[in-house]
Amino acid sequence: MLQTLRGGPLHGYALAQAIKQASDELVRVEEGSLYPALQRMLKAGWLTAEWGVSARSREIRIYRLTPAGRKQLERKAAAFERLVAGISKVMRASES
Amino acid sequence: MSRLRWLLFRRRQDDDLAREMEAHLAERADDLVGLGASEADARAQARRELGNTTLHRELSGDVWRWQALDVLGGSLRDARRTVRRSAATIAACLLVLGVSTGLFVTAAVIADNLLLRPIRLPGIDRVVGIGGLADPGPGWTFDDWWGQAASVEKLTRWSAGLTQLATSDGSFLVNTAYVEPAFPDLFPTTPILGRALGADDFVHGSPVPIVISEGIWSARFRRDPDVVGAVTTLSSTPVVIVGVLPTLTAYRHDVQIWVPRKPGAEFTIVRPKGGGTNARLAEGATVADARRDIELLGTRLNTEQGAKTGMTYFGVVSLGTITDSQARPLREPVIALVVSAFAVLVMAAANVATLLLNLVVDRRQELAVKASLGATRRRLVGQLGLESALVGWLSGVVGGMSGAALLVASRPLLAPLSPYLASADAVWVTFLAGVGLGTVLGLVVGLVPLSLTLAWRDWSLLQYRGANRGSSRGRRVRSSLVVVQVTTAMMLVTVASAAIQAFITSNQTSMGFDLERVLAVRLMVPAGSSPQETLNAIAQNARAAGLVDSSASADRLPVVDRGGMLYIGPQNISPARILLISPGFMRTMGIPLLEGREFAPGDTASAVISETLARRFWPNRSALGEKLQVSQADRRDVIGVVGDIQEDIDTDAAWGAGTGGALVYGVLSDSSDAAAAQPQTRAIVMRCRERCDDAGPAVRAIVEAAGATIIDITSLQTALEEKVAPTRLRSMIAVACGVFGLLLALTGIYGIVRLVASSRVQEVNIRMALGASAAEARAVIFRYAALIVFTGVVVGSGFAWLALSASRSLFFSIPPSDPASYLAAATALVIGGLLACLGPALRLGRLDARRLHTE
Repeated sequence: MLQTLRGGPLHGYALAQAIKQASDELVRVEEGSLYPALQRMLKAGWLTAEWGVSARSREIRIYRLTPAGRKQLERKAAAFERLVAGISKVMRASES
Repeated sequence: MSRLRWLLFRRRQDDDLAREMEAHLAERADDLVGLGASEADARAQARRELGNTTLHRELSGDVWRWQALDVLGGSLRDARRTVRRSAATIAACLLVLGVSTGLFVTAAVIADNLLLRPIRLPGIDRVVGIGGLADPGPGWTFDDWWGQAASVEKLTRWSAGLTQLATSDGSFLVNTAYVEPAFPDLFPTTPILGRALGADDFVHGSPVPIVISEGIWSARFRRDPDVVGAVTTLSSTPVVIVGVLPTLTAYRHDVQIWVPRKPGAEFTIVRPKGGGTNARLAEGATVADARRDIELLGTRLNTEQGAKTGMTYFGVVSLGTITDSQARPLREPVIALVVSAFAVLVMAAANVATLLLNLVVDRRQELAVKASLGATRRRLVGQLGLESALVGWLSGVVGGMSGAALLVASRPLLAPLSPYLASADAVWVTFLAGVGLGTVLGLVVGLVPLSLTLAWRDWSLLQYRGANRGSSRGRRVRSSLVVVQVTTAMMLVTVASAAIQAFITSNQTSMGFDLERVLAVRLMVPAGSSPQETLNAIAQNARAAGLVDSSASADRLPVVDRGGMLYIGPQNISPARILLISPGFMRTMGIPLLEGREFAPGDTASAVISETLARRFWPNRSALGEKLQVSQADRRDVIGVVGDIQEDIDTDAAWGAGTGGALVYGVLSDSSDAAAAQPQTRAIVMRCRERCDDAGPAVRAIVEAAGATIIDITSLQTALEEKVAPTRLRSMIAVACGVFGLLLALTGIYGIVRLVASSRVQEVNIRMALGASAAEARAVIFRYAALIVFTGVVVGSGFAWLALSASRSLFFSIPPSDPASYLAAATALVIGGLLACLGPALRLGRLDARRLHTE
């Protein structure tokens, strides 16, 4: 979610659709957990929210990444890459 | 956004989330419409995909909420709903627990002020009162002789009596205490104005410095701040006011003026009001040490001085702390009050616990539904706990208010005993104590249903059958609570029965004289007049006017006015009251003359004694002609023995066997010329020809025409009724507690029997269908109730015996083992229990085929 918002502010539905499309529908954000997650990130200060207008001229709440959110994203991304690298090594070692 | 902002604007935040969900739905529906779905289908599918928006909003809001605060708010809303739904039950709980708490707190405040802290002065616990110390005779002063006792220090004497004070508004009698130099040291009181008496005030000088009480400063000096330094006369002697003492902390709240005994200052006491000898226990000494030392000195006094003077010296007859002597006369009635109030409180708590338990059981289905919707056990128990706390707090408020109201209503009775009880401070203390105790008690009582719910294993939606009204554990708890109520009721009703018997007995007991048509007059003969001539003139004029058949005078009214106490001989030091009378007193009052004769004018060296006194000193022979030692230098010939009169009508006979008092009569004679210069108080009793109400106004005119001032005029019957009013009040309180306790117990029995009956409907219906009779069905209920009542009566009888033993002196010779009291109480509970069972038992005995079919 943070990575997707890095590309620009989005509302909740658009965010879920963007993640679904970017992952070729391999990753789906459950609607039930989308909004609570957004609220948690708002509370943590990683996002800000304001009411705006969607592409269909509908009043909707739009979320934007904050500098603190960027830092959190970088931390999480680095951790994820280390994890992936570690798993890859294990898998290569198993194959050989 | 912060949590606080969310809390303050939660409704708006929730609305924003709702709008956001709605926008999400709309966006998704638009996408589906774009893919070819109809509007309705697109909307429906979008809703299905999004799921429970309410839950999403809840979970989103949870991120910001303070969980604890949220739970608390929800529980408070639930509690408010519960209170509204069960308003009658909750109101009953508040009333029963609140009023009982108020009663107990009031009793405790009274006990604290009358028994534990009757005098609030520093170091008062070490001040003792010593009764019966004799003047040592030639060669010794009082202080030098008795001051030899190593275990006491600062020995001081004081005497009190009515003395004439002159103010700008006129002259009036005030209760004045004449004190020795050590007195202010023993009873240090911080004055409101000016200063207390000091060492210099006891040496020569004029005017004599005096200290006045706050009461007289308000009543006679209008709280004038310039009263310090004011010069006036006391008993025609110039005095100057140097200070004002507060009523709340001064020793002897009835004293209005304190005067130092000093050389050259003479005051005339119009009517004595008592006196005493006090001392402080030396460092490390105990009351027992002081008694031993004083008694040794008394023995030495008899040996050494008795040989010189030929007189008999009495040793100490009483020695105890001041606080104990003040508390002692009130100890039994106050303790009885506290114990009764505590018993009522226990019953009320048990009753309320039963009501709350029933309430929880009735809500079992509601709680099960909440559990199935996701409420945790912790949340539900917390909700019940909060409801108990709410009931507790409200009970506390009701308790505080009722306690304060009770104290204010009791002021006329309590003010003469302790001015603190009549103050605003005491009301506040009672209110706050009531709130505190009521809150704690409500919480404790609420633990009973709470403990039951904690024991429930399965909170999910149970198969609820109408007959299932709670677990067996719950029924056992409730049965135990009802047994507690019946036990306490047995105790209260037994005490109430004894109180009623005592009241009837006291009314039936003869006063010892004829009360019919006796007019009692208290008057003051002015200075310069001969009291005897004034009284003779009044009697003659009243007879001449045809108002009275006979009249006589005395130094006080018998029975109504508490007389002074003497310790008299011949051999045994025995307490007795004394009454000075004129010739013809026995005839006027209708007191039977048993031996000898009445007084004749001039019989100053003679005494007439009561029957009790004669039996005590000369049990096997006539008392006529015997010598009675009235004081050290005063031995009188016994010339007559009369029947006992009820001098101690407001307490059980503390003087000895029987209900009469030990009483010595002496002749009332004119005072000396010097004393005649001061006003004298006297009492006249008149046997009226017609009703006292008819003769009263005319007698008043005759008294005033003779130049005397009337202090009080009423029928002796009325005066006696006022005297026994506190005793009657005690009996009424005991009866009220008994009735209240009985009603609570019967309510408890009805509740538990009804519950048992409803839980056994199915079983009984099956039995009756199989051939059992209605009587057999009802027997189930009666057997159960009989067990509860029997247990409560047996255990309660033991507590009742303890209560009656502890309060023996309150009940006019009704012994603790009086069978009539127990029988009356047991009968009331058995009959009441029977009636309480009747309804549920009758309902149970009717076969209901429809219910049988359903089950």
